[in-house]
Amino acid sequence: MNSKTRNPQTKADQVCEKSSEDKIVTRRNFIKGTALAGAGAAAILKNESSNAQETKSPDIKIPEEIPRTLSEAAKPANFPMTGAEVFAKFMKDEGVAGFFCCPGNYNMINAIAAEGIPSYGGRCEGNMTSAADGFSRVTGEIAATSGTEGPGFTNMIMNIGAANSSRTPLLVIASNKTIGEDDTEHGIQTAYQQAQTEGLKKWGKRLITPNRIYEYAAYAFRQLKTGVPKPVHLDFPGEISRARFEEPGELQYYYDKTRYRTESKAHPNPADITLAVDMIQRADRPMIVASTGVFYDKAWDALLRVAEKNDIAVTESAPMRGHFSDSHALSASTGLDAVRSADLVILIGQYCMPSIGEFAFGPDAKWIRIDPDATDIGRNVPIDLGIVSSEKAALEALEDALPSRDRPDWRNELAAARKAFDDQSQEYYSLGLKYSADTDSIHPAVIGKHLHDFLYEGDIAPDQTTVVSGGYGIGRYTRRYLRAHRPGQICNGAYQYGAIGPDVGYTVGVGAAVQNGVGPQAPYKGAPIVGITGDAGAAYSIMEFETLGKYRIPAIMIVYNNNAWGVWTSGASRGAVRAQHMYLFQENLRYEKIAEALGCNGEYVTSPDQMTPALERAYKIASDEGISTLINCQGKKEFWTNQYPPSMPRHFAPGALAYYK
Amino acid sequence: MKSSIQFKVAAFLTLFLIHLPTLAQEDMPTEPSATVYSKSAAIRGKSFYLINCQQCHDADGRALANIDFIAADLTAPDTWYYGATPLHIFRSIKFGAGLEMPPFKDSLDDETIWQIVAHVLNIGPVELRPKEE
Repeated sequence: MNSKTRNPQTKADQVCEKSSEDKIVTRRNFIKGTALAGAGAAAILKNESSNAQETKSPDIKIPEEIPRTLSEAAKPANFPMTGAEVFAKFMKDEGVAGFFCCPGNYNMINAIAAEGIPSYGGRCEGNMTSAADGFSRVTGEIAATSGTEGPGFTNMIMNIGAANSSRTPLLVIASNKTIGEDDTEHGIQTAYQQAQTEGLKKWGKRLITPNRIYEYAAYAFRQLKTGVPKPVHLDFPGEISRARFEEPGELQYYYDKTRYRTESKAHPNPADITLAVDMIQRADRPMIVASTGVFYDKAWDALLRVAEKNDIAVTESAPMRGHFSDSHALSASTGLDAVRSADLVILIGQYCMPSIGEFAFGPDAKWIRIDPDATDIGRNVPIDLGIVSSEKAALEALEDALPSRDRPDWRNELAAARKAFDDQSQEYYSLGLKYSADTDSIHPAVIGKHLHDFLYEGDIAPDQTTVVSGGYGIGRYTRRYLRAHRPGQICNGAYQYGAIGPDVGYTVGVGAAVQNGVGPQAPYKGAPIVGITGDAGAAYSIMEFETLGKYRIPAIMIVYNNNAWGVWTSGASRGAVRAQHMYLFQENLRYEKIAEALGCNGEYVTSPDQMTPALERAYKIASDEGISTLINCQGKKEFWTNQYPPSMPRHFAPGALAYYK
Repeated sequence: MKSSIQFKVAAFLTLFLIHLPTLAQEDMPTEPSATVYSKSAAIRGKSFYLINCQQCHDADGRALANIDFIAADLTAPDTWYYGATPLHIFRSIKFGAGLEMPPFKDSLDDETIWQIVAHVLNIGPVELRPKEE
């Protein structure tokens, strides 16, 4: 697999290399020079011996063990079983649909793979945690992640935090030395785990009694499958995972899942539904905010029926999008002016609750909140009516109780708002073309528009491609051009935790979900997916291109490369001195070559005319060979300043532009 | 009452003269609108502030929660870099300031901007707050 034969150099590529040759400096000279000259020196680095080494290097290849062991038949465990096998079997019975890990916790991860749960091994536990998070966000199913004790587990913390803010039903399992060695610091990697996930989980437990492993598995899945989900964290000392059980009687509370938890869900009080119907009927411009709970309760069909029956507008706010199609006449996800105009807001399954001002609704709007958790209703935003219910049950009750009604004025206002949004997007694109030409680079609005046209206006069915909508500054533009037409079509990368870095991890998990056709991804099984991130974010997880390559997960990852952290202006304004260097990277870094070096494909885009051809080549190689591509889009950090309005557009929530919440 | 406030504003301006950028700008007024001295205008300005400004400066103007960049603490004009008089505040809102503060000239009319100026003054030092009904 020689990437050079697949990916001939672009003209810009050649120009760049020629320029490099003209100005080669050695690393030693560079360091010496900067030491003498101080900050502000610019230099182009090149490893002078790299070409000679490349000609002798063997091809990157997938070892035969990988496809061979992936195709082995599952071998479900039966008594006698180890603790690890008991837990893995439990996970299989509960329908865990994806497992993402790095080695460590060996007994557990081997048992999970043997049960036949689709399992993936990556390059960093944190990224694998995000892979599991992304998998859940586009399938609605529980995914699990594992890391080894100590360092492997602590690598997962940021990504657990992101999953917690997204209210993801994520099962975190980690090995943890032995109970017998507690507090001795014997050996290596010992650490108390549960305290480290405090505030980042729904529930957690360090297992210390071997014959209670089945009982605690039930605790875990009760938490994961009822109410408002969040990560559940179990840590497994060696005495637990390696315990042996000869027969079921040795395990406490060994009941079938129909007996250790219930599928029953809260239904709304009829009196509350009557009040809600009255408020909806009195409203002229009612709007539903369809959020996380609508997706996890698989309530999108009921949502559609309610919206259409009474002409209620719907906008989305969630770590995933598509449970109400952007193309529907009642959609307000791209109708921002209509959000400001709504006189009744109905929050359904808004698990990560905004505080006042985070949503752009007007100060006079009335609020209804429907949520399974009574303890959260009324937090942050004062309500006019609270309804404790599962999302689906409440929507079905509303469907029954609401009269049919046409609201032509409201529909017209929604259409006008969407048109205004599209007109503004076109205006930004025109500006982006001008800025790109002025700077010999590619502006983020151009990336977004070309991606939009490629995914939704060309030969690809608009509902086909699942997208990880990540990045920081770039996301402020690409969200404007992305569309969601069906459940789970967009995984909103950052969401409320605002983490910079998990996007390639999300892409692994989302790609695995589509590769296996899980849940709403079933009709699109095997289709290439798209991910978007920035150069700052890519650095945290770019090694997972090796994971994409190893499993032939077909992904196209757009990396917006503006040579800086997205917040770089903070080091350049308001009297900052000696600070700017902390915010900047070397310029024109070639992230696509990292992807090539990891067995994937690379494209370097430096002008608008190169964008669509790069997407076409990337899509073809993903479709034909399952090979992922990193498209390195060279921008300018100055696009985030007032020199290039609208610079970094402010986020707007709820809807397509929501960066948080 | 108005002249007293104007005197205090002038005194404040003197203190920070060294930081003040030029006000020269096309379509820039030469005198502040009387709106900035009106308490009712400040109340109206708060609504526009919450819609347009709080994402960066927070609802209370202190900008403590902004993770995107260092925004000005609007309650502490002695820390500002682009001028603290009503005219300077108007200019920053209408035409932008520094690298990050975006211009609002295409989305807000002058009267609305003056009302926001009144609100900004109203959350600052007591002596600068609008006093007229």
